[in-house]
Amino acid sequence: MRQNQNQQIALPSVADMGALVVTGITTFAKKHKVISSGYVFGILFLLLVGSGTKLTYDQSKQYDSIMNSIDLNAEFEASNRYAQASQAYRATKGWFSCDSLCQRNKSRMQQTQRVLDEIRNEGYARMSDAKSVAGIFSEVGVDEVKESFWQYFGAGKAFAKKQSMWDMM
Amino acid sequence: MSNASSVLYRYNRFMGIRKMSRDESTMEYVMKLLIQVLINFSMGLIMALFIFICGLWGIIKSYQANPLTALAFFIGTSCSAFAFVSTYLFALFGAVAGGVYGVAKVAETNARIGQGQRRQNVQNHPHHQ
Repeated sequence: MRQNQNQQIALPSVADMGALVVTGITTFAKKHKVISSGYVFGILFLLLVGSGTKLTYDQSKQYDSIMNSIDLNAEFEASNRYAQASQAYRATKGWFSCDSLCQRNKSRMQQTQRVLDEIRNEGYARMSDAKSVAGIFSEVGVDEVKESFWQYFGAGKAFAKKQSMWDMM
Repeated sequence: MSNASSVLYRYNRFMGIRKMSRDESTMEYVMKLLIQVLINFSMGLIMALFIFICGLWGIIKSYQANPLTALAFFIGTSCSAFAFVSTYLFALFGAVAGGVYGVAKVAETNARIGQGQRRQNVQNHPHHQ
């Protein structure tokens, strides 16, 4: 029985645990100055930038007018044409061969793809112009970055959950 | 075997999927699973952070900001993302460590009460000594 008593590990009290955590964090911060200053800077940046600067009336008007100039219908039609041409090419091509009909469909598909890419690039360029009016530190820019972060963060969590489920099976 | 399933298989071999063996206690098994869950979350979130930082420059470029502003925003946002992910992971590890500490503390208290009762029984029946 005395042996069992000797084998017991005395857990530190809650107050001691708190002190232990604080000491650990302080030691880490002193040892890794770049990481800890990056951490503090990141939190300060988050607090300062917040949800970004609000767009002025003129900025908002200009931003909307440039965004509205993007021809979504043209992109939709070009996308449809490309899908049809691609379908026709895939229907006529063989496993390892492409006859004259297939070659014609292939060139049509490439042409519709070029048109679609041009329309898309034009759209991206106009979107970029509209964004430049707003600015990266504006609510539009900050919102886009935030949305991107939450998307990747959610994907990371989903990966962890799925992997943990596999591990438990 | 497809590429994705092959990667998953290799990851599982590396991380070690396994069922509870006859020689280990439930507590030991639960602890190992908890550690595995924590490793999975750390890997998932750190990977997400890196992919986010890689894609961030593309978003900044689309705003046609001047190089200095773009660099300042990039560094600030990267640091913010790092701060958020590390705080999340720290909270997660802290919650698990706190839970384990609580369970261990309860077990320790129960063991002490059990020992006290046994000692009392021995004192009440001296012929057992």
